[in-house]
Amino acid sequence: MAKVKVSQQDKALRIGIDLGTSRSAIAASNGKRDWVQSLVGWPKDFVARKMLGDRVLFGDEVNEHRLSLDVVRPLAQGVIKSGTEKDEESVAELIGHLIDLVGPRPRQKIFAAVGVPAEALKVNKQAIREAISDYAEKLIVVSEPFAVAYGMGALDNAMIIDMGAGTTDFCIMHGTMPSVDDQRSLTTAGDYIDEQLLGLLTERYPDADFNMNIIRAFKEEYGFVGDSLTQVEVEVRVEGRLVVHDITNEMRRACESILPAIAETAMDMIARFDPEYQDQVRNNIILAGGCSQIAGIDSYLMEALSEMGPCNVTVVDDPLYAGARGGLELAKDMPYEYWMDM
Amino acid sequence: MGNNGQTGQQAFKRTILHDVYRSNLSAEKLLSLQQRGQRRQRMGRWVRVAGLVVILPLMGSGAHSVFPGGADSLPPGKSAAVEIAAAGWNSGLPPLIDDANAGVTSSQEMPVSTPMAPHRRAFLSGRGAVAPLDGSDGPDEWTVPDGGISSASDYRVLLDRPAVALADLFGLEVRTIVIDPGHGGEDPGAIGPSGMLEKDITLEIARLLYERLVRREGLRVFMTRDSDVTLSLKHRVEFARENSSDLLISIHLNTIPNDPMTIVETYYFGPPADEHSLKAAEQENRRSDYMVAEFGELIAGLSDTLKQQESRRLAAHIQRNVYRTLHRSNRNIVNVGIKTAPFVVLLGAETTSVLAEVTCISNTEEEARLAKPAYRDKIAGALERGILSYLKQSGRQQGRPPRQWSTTYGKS
Ligand SMILES: Nc1ncnc2c1ncn2[C@@H]1O[C@H](COP(=O)(O)OP(=O)(O)OP(=O)(O)O)[C@@H](O)[C@H]1O
Ligand SMILES: [Mg+2]
Ligand SMILES: [Zn+2]
Repeated sequence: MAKVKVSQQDKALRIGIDLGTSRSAIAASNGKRDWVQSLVGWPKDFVARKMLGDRVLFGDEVNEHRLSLDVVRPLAQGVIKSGTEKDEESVAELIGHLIDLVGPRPRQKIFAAVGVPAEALKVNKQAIREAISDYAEKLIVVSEPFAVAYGMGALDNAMIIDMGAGTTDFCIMHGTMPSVDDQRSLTTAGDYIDEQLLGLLTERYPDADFNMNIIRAFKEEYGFVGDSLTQVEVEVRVEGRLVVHDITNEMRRACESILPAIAETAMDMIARFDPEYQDQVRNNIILAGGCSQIAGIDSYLMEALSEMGPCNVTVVDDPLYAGARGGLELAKDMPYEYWMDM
Repeated sequence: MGNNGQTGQQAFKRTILHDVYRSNLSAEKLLSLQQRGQRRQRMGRWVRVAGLVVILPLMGSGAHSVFPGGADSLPPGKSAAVEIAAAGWNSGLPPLIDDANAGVTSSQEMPVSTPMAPHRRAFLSGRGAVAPLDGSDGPDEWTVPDGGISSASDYRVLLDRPAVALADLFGLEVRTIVIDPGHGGEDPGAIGPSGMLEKDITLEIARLLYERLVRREGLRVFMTRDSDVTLSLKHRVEFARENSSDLLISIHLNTIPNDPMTIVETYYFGPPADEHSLKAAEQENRRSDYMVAEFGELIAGLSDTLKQQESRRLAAHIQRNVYRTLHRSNRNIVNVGIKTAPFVVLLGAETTSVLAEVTCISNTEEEARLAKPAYRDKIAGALERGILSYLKQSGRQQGRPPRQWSTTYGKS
């Protein structure tokens, strides 16, 4: 294969994609970016096709028409779904949809850097390659926390904690690409909080109609740890009537429930790091992922970790896009000859 | 940050970008030798091929697990030795065997010796050769590092992107593909707004597809016509049958009268899904040459649900690839999906068969695109990818590769 001429490379659209279990995001060199819930749906039957058209649906639209659809979460459990044909198609469909969202010009070449959950990186590289092969000319695949680190410029003596839905992923950077030992993953993350919160609230208010979607919305709106400044009061139906419930304590307990394990893992990873640089890492801890938006989470962790010595914990400014942006940075920086042909 | 910091950061970036490159590369080209040591315990099978030792991790249980999907469920310490003696192979092509899974579970537990074809192309009479079914380039690119392949993910790579023929490694049978360019001769097929004839374009696309497929090893490829001749559907069906085709793809262009819409659809045999499919089938069936009685017999022989399932899967692979590819040139193209319709050419074929209506010749812009060789090649490329990914998956799902192990294991 002849090398693509420089002019052609420059015309290529660089994109960074963050494939998450709950949300996936894309950022492109044409300045566009977007995200979608990681949900793919196909009309179930004739009636559904009549209503929705014969097409694939994504994100919110899937939730809206859930009953008429065969729904796949392409990255459930943090790995690429496989098994049925739809499972296998779903990742490709999702990627295609994300790319559509940033609107490449017709025939424009695409160079993609895709960040995936650490586990998917281990087991699914080929599936990802296949899924993207129809859209991109060139591809590199990296782990999600690494993409975040790269985007933040946190390349040396830093720790990224990516708190997502299914997993919290840790990654220590020390001037090279993190190895297996530099990365860890816990299953205590957003979904775990939701379960805790649902449990606590149904216990306290057995008559109220809670469900997972409402619970998640509460968490995203009012989630906090540590001292609360105000009461958290929400309206929930009881026997058909909206009733105000105070959920302040339950919210705090649920949100804090994931933190001991996270603090412990962080300390353990730092303790194994070269003693000479442990201080630096401790002062360069970066929180990313949807759950990093829980109010007070940075100071809570800072306090928990300070038993090892002074430390500094910050939250990325743009948790929704941190991974995709990191991927885009990578896609822009990657020298041409390092790209993998599809 | 001072100047020093900046340069430091740049240096880290360089290192890291190179690391990213390497980590993607190793998955790609089996070069992750450095990290071998610590992962050794997880290994499974040893396969000796031509003096090189390849370590294949043993996966879960059942034939399916020999292929990707279960590598990491490998129980530590569970292993078996498989010695493949190239010399043991001397007969012709094995028949297609469907109960490929039989006996595989037990074969995983014990050392087995497997005869295999040193080079299948020696047995080929048709045009074609044995090659990976995955779109990679060919044996020259692929070398087994002599230290061996060392981890589950490396093994996955071996199976996923081997440039060495899977057929050579595991004794996969050669597949015969028949490409059928729709219409021809007196039958022009559909006619585009400025007079383009379906029969010419289907032939061009078929030729390009043929050129692509014959380059691949492991495939015998035929075309029902390679010139502008009139062929009945019956003739096409018989041609596929006579050549014992494993897979038939009939290439057509759609036409939607009085509508500028452009759609992509792929059919496999079945009752018409809707009015449009019925019309399409009627149109394509016109030159069938079958007597009513024969037609009845063909329909009676339709109990072959496996064929139908396989055809459905092939249709899905083709549809997906064609739609995605064309969608990049034409954002308005509509993915109609896979459908069933009673096309004679699909019914009569005794094998996995689909009819692809790759795009609409009735759309003015699409007609103009079709006039360009590059666009036709794009379509051919998409069809090729669809076929290869179908073949690859069917090899995987039916557990064909380990068949040789299961039927001939024993001490060497
Ligand atoms: N404002 C918010 N406050 C608290 N939690 C939030 C907020 N926004 C989103 N979340 C939670 O963050 C989680 C999703 O985070 P993110 O999008 O990073 O996950 P993901 O990358 O899809 O998942 P994973 O990293 O496990 O693959 C969900 O549990 C969601 O409810
Ligand atoms: Mg994530
Ligand atoms: Zn036709």
